[in-house]
Amino acid sequence: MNKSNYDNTSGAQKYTISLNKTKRILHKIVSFRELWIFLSLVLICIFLSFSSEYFLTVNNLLNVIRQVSIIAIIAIGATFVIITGGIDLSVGSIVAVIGVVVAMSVQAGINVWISFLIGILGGVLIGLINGLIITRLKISPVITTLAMMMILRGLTYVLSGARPLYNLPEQFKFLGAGYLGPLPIPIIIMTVLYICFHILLTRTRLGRYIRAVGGNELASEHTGINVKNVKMIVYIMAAVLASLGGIILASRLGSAQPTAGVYLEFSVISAALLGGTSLSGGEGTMLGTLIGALIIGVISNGLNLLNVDAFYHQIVKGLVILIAVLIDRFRVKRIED
Amino acid sequence: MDRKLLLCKGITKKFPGVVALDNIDFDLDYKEIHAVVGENGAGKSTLMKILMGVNKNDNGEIFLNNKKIEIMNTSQAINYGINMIFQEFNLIPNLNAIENIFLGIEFCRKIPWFIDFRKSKGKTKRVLDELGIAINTGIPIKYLSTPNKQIVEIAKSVVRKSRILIMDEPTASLTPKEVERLFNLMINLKESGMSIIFVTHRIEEIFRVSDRVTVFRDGKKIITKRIQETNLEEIINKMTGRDLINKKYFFNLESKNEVLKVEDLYVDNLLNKINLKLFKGEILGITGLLGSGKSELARTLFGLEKVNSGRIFILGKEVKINSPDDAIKQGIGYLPEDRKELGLILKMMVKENITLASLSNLVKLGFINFKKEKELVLELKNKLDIDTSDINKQIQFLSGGNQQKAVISKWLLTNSKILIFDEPTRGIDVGAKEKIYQIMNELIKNTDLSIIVFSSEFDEILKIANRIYLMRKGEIIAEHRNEGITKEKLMQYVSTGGKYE
Repeated sequence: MNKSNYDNTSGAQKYTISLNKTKRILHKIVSFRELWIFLSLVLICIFLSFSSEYFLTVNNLLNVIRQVSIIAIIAIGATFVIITGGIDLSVGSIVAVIGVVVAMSVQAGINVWISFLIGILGGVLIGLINGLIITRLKISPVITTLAMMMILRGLTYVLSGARPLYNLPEQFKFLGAGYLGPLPIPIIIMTVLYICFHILLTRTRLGRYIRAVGGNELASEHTGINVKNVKMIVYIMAAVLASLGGIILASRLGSAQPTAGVYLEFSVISAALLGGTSLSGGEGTMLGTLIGALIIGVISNGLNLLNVDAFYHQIVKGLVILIAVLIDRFRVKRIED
Repeated sequence: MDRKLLLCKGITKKFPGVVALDNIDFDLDYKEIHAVVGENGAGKSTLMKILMGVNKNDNGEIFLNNKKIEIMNTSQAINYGINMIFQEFNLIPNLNAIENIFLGIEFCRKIPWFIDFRKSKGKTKRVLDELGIAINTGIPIKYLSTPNKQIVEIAKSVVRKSRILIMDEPTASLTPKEVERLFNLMINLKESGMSIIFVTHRIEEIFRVSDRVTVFRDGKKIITKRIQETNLEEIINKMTGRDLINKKYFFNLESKNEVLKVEDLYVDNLLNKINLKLFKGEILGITGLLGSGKSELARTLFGLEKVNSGRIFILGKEVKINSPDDAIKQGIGYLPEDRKELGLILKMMVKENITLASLSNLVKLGFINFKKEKELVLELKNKLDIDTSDINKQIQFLSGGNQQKAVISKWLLTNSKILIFDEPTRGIDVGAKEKIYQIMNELIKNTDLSIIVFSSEFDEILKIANRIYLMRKGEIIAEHRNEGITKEKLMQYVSTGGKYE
């Protein structure tokens, strides 16, 4: 630029414009939903990399993500359910019962892949029952899925005789313990699912209807949306994803444990809440939930690496949720200002 | 200087980007009912919030009994004897009237923490007797009607020995009879020594109870006048800065194309033997008092109530309407009375709200065509003059009038043939009301739409409707062309059901 042509006014204007632009960009960054939660994840990782030299190794990180992948996959369903203003407490028991059902089917000599399919169909059935009770009998989601949680847990014990099912073929272990190149299969499944469901939530009619129903159920009904069907779909999604989680877990362990997934529903809901999903409905993103699940995984891993007594793990996880919600409130305030 | 009960001098309040109150002077006499009117955003609620200690003024002074006071929070305001009855009420729904009245100031027995029920019951009874009103004080407040809840609020402020009572839109959801009772009550309160600030949208009411009136516009005080020295027209002109009051929008229409015909419609306990016709290109008004069944009829036409018997024809073809989805497919759009509860998804963007009912037209294999969506929404934004900087903004940040326009846009996109407006201007100020009437009028002129307006405001019906049906107790009792009838006659007819001729 020719300095002799320097014009004071236009310079000032330019400055204002660029200032406005910076302000806009800053505002965008600050209001970016996942920013705070992402920063928290980064902070925790920085802290852990200083506290334990083992934390920041490729092996450990892959291990963390693989461990977290089951929670993360089930948390997709939880996020969708919570966005519609509901909740699903039955996913932990679904993990156990489907794991057992699939293992029994394999032991009965049915092809492994067909057995997996049977497991998924079982998930559809459970989700359908949840959804029907909630939308047709109008029983609240908490009560419905709490009852379902207990019924399915009982069913698991009945089917398995309360004993783990071992002696599964090598082929069975591929989904949970296998690798594609250097990457564990569960991580690949998780990544693909997150991309698909992100697109579903942000770009499709169904995604928008789901957000609308959670944002204002009555108004959605008055707009001609079939609210009951939308709810049915999210409960089926949640149950199917939990079934998939159950299959991957059994496959990784090489056995079906009747006690699998106890309290898992709470980790899953925590992941969604950490990621900024609002319990009052209408709000939530896939990216947020993924980061939320990663935080839960990283904290578990860190507590192990630091040799913290297992009893303290729950206490720390509870505190993390409270802090996450406080951070979220701070963010909302900043945007309002 | 005259002694005033309350004197506000040079009150200024700025919010980011707006001056909500600009150097306002306001005063309240002893034993006075002082009406405060203005459009939404004129500044009247900001002033009330400052008096209640919800907001703090940036500049200016407040005097109570010639003594300068600072109101920092709500409990301080109450200590100064200032109380406010909000439109939504501040009552705990599952407590009864007595418990609500004494909430926070319970009488205690000798043993601390134990409430003296007999004493509070006696005091409640005395206060209600003084007010001359009997209500059931033993049942949870949620079972009381709106006017009775209001009485409980008033009793609450009497018990708290308020000197200044601020009433925000107290008549908004009352029937004419209940309004009458409220006004008598307000005059009683005044005579017993209380001063009342009466905030309202219904301008004609201020002439029945107020001593003085103050008009706000755009954060400024326009005038304060003794009520005898002014009239309706002047007040509305001052409020809007325009001359609107005598403008009528209806026009005579000679169309005989039936868009909608309803024959012997019957809905259990709600509607009885409804027969009506809607002609192409007209605005049909349906009116009646609260409980006349008009809202129920609106809901039934949109598939929200189950029809027991009767036939509905659209463009001569018999149709079944069992759900909103059916109604939308038959070309009916519905603009509910309660926009925020039933019409909008507040957290979603303006554009998402507008296209929500017609997404199927924008979708290929389930995926939304964002480019087409944006084009359609921008087109409607220009057509209806929706005032928003960004169609990606959450719709909760738009004004009431613009939200209403967004709901109208939603139905324009579904190719509706019939729009049902249920109380289209409730809670909207005078200026925005006129804008909504203009929009309806333009819709009729520029599109193939026909409109049914359900409204309990006779002025509104007489202003916009081409034909009028009167309802009472779930039945249509008369049909009239909008010629030569007056508000008084309509009122007489719907309240007595007697013959109008």
